[in-house]
Amino acid sequence: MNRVFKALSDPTRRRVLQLLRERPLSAGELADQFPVSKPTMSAHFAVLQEADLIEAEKSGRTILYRLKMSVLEEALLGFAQTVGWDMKPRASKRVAEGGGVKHPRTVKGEV
Amino acid sequence: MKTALTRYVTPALLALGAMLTIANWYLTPERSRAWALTLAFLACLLVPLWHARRRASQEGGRRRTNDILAGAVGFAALVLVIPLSGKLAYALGAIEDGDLAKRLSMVVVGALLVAVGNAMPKMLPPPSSIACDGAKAQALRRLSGWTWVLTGLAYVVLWLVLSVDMAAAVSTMVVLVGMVAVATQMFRLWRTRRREV
Repeated sequence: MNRVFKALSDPTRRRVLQLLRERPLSAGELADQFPVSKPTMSAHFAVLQEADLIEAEKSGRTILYRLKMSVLEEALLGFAQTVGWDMKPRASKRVAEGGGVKHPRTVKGEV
Repeated sequence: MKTALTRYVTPALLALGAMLTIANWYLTPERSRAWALTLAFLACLLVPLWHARRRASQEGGRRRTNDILAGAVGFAALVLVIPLSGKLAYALGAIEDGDLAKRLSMVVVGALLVAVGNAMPKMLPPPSSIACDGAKAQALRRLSGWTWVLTGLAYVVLWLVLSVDMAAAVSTMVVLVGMVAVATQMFRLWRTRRREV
């Protein structure tokens, strides 16, 4: 279940799931919808596959992705979409905000 | 490979069912025919369980199939154990509501509907084996899943809230509506498939 929460915590992955709700799509068709590099998209697909939310099938030279979500997982996706679920770890969030992670000794020295 | 389900859980439920039936027989001997039938049914359930255990020890690979078989037997035993416990508790004077056991059994059946509906969209056949439009097949599975989950939830709530007679009638209606909804979608898919051919 942890993997499912991790997969649903990212807006790009949620959008991928939303697109796959309409119909199965190829990797290229999905990648075209996002302004990110193909390796990044592949990483997102890997996370979704690891969580067993999508399934890939190779047909010729293309990889076709399709949705593999249970009703509960779909309900969780809907909930995540509604509340704008974003589960970044605290440390990386601070780094992203420009705060950085303070070394314990530095903190002690400041006091 | 034998798992906890084939090794312990299902046999324990069957043994518990047999013990409860014997206890009920002892306390209410006037219903001996019903208790004898229950014991015979529990004995019949031993056959698929024995088969699953034998297969599990022979071929280590097919763990999932054996688990499904053992799980189905375990669920059948659980559906029996709940009303048997209720009947025994009622005969011993521990509970005053004679319908409680029936209600609980129906709640378990509703929970099964929810569990099956929840898993339905995940049970995908390989895309190459789908004869019609993949998007339509996916939509049908999603609709079926949601229908059975909502039907199961309604079923559980109805059996918890309404009187037994009322719950029996209304819950049957709810299940029928769910079946009609799924059948209609299947018919629509079949019609579009015929048109495409």
